[in-house]
Amino acid sequence: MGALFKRSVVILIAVVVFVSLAAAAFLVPGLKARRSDGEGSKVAIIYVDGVIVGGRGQAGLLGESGGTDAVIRQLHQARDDKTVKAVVLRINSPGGSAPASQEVGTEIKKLRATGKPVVVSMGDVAASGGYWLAAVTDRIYANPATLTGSIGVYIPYTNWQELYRKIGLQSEKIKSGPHKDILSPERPMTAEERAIIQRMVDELYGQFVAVVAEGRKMEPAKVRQLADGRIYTGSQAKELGLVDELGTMYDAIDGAAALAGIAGKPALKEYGKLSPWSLLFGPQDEFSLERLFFRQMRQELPLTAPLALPEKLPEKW
Amino acid sequence: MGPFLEILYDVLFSPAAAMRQIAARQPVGQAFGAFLLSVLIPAGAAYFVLQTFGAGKFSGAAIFVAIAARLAAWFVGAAILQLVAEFYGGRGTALGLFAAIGFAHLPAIFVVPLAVAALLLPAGAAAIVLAAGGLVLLLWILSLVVVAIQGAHGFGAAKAVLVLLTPLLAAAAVAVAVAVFVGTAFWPLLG
Repeated sequence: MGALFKRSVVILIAVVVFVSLAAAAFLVPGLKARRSDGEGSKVAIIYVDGVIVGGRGQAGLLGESGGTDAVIRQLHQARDDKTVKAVVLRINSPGGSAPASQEVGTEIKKLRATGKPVVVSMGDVAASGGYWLAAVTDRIYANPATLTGSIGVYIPYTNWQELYRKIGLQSEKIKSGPHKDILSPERPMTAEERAIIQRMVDELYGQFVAVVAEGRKMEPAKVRQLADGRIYTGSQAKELGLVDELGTMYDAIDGAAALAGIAGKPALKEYGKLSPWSLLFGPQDEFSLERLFFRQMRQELPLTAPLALPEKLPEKW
Repeated sequence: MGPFLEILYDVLFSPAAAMRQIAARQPVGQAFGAFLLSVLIPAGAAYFVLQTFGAGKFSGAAIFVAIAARLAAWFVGAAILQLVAEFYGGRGTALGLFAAIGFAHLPAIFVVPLAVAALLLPAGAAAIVLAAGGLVLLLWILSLVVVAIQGAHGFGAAKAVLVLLTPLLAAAAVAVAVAVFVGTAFWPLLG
């Protein structure tokens, strides 16, 4: 085969390759623009799972879970991400600490203030503190069998004095003030202390009622009527105006897209997605209510946080 | 053996004879040029992609590291294959194999036209074309490496494939051994 032919073929290949390289320089930015048209309107999905507890929760090598700090960070990321036009909050929580619920609720309000609608999809249960979060959003979707409601606050107290006496344990404290060991499980609560705690619970309850009244556009008196602490099914909550629509998470996503003016099927951006690596090296233990109470019993927590949490949920729902 | 352009043609279209001659004459400078083409051209396309999709700050450094890593991999890979080939009774020279392997990566330049063709297609078809085309190019390069080993050491195809696979199988065996060791050591902690 002639040398000229070989050279010609190689030169032809070189021309094709370099023309392709030049074309890539023009095509790739065009592709980005095309993609950003399609992907520039995302609906973010943020999960609120388990008991709502402030702080970082359980830290692992590749992340953290169980605390509200992670949820708050995800809300900030969704707020700062220009491609995110709406947020779906997938709540599957029986509630938890009132301050933690309040903090997340405040961050949700800030997110909404940027013009991005926030829509809630309730899973198995979105009660008490979980409902607190839902109440501050634009629209609430629940399944007919979802357990929700339980609007109210309590501060748990257990008196272990009799048990301590039986096992011969005598604990003493040197206090700086008469109420420094308020809620101590080692002695009965005094009437004065009960009144102090009751005032706190009443005030927190008032804050909760105000949040629901503002978020659901209801009269506070009407909210107080519904907020006797009972739980409702999704269907009952819809009838009472505590939920907007009965539907699944994908109905909520469509609803969020519609509120944000996204035409067609929206691109989704999931926050807190678990990768195989995070499953291996992430937090090993889930934060559970039992663990929280166990820590309280062992007095690892300095003060009992007021709980926006049902006292007990059915075993199955 | 003709000038550079003719060698490139022979490597692409009549590789057996070309690799034998390259291994015999050891044109290391030309092999370096061919290898640079096969690294720089795809790297150029990758640079555009990185610049466009938000990795602009790091794209220069990433491309530089990638090129340096490819050059190091060529050098180290040729040395390992030479050692394995000699274990299997090969009598070729290290420089000959080094030069032949340098030319063997030439089909990598076709990644650019392939990627541009894929960009012009709808998303679904583009992924299929990219995957299928990428697989063809990978097999082409691997087959040229096998031909390079054959040309450098006068092996048959089966023995040349064995030379190529031996380091990979050894690495896989070491990885399995390490995984078993780590798993045995840390399993009680994870449980």
